[in-house]
Amino acid sequence: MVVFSGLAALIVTSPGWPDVRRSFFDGDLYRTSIDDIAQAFTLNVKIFMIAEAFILVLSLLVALARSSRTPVLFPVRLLSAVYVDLFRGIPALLVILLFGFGMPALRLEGVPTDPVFWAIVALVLSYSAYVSEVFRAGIDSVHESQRASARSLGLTSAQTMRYVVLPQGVRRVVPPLLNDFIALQKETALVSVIGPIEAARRAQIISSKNFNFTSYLAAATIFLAITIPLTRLTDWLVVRQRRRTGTRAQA
Amino acid sequence: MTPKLAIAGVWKSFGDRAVLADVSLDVAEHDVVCVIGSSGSGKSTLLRCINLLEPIDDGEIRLDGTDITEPGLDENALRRRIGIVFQSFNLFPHLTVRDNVTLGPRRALGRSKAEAAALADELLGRFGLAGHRDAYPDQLSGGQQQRVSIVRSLAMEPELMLLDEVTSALDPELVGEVLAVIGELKASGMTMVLATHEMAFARDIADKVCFLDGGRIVEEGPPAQVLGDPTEPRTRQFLRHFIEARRL
Repeated sequence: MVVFSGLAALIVTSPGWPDVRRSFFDGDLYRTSIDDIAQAFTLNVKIFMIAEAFILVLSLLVALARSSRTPVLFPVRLLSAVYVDLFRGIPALLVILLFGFGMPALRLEGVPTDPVFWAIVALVLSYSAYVSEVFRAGIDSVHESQRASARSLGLTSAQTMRYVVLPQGVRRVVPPLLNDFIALQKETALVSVIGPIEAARRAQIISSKNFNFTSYLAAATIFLAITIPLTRLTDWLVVRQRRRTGTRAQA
Repeated sequence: MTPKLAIAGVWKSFGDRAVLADVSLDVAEHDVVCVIGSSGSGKSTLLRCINLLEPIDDGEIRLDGTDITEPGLDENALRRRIGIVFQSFNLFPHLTVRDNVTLGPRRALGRSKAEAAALADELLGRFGLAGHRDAYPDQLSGGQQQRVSIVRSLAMEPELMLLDEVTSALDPELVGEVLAVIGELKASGMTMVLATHEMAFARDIADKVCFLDGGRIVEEGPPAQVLGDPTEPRTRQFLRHFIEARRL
């Protein structure tokens, strides 16, 4: 608290403060721009809602492929490992640029040219690589004796995964999973680099029209309105899980 | 008559350490065989091999005369005929007691939900667990968990049960309830192989006791002989600890 008020005092008394206040904290502009930006934000919401659904499915498939033990599935294992290495290693921004400009440029019959479509594809590919590792960590965290127990009942390895390993593994990684989704919601702003006018891009347009940065602040508050509740939810889940594993230590 | 289970010349190594060395053992139908020996003598490994959880290096394991270690056999189908209960219970923590018991019959045997639930309720009732069927495993005592674990195996209607030191992880006052369940299984005619440290119990329940040391069967025979009057010095030495601790 002391640190914050000290910082605030330092900023407000700085020689540049009157200029900064004018260009970042213009109350009227804040009020007029926030509606526009909120409208543009619906595109961000649409992008992450669609992307999240596909990310969940794709990342789970990749995690399952990587956790498989059958020798026959070796090619699948290799392929998914290469995919994860590749997409975890490239900045999401570059993936968006490559897909957003590259794919439509091919002018292939039947290939969509909508930049939003390719932005979603890029985010799904980029994030699934991360999220699949989260799922894999969850799967690996289930003790070997649980598998032995399920197999000894005559369950196949697929049934063991489906009814015994996955339900336990997924439950354990819900908090880190939500964490990645919070990150994704912010990263939707990257989509603007290939054209679509989402919240951050709308703020930029307003800013350059008025020679004033207040609109960025407006965009920031809109993002916070979504990410803070989700952050709180994640924290709450972590605490609840810790409490539950505290009293339910022995599995 | 063909024994229910016939183990012949089984070898198993982990790395270059032989855990089972030329183990042979017959188990007649309805008989209870107790395998005794110190920790690391190979008792658990032997049971895990019978259940095909561990592949053996050499030898054969015959169930009703058929070698179940032959490659290409349906391991899942064979495991359904052999129940195993582990020292650490290994119940599924995310499922209720009843769902723990019905999982095998429903998924591995293809029973309907109602059919599996009816069987589960009947078994849980028989072993004094009816009141706990909606509880989660970690809400139960160790003894209750182990009884659920036995019921879970029984629900598969196995022809043979393997019990791997099922009382070793329990507080002393909870051992009795689990042993009582095993006694009841014996009375119902179940064929069982027990790895156990409960010598007094083994003497009462076993048709045959076999002493495993360093992966080899040193001595086997009726409980009165092996536990009361062992011929091998190594067996005598092992049993002395139990006699001194007044546990035999």
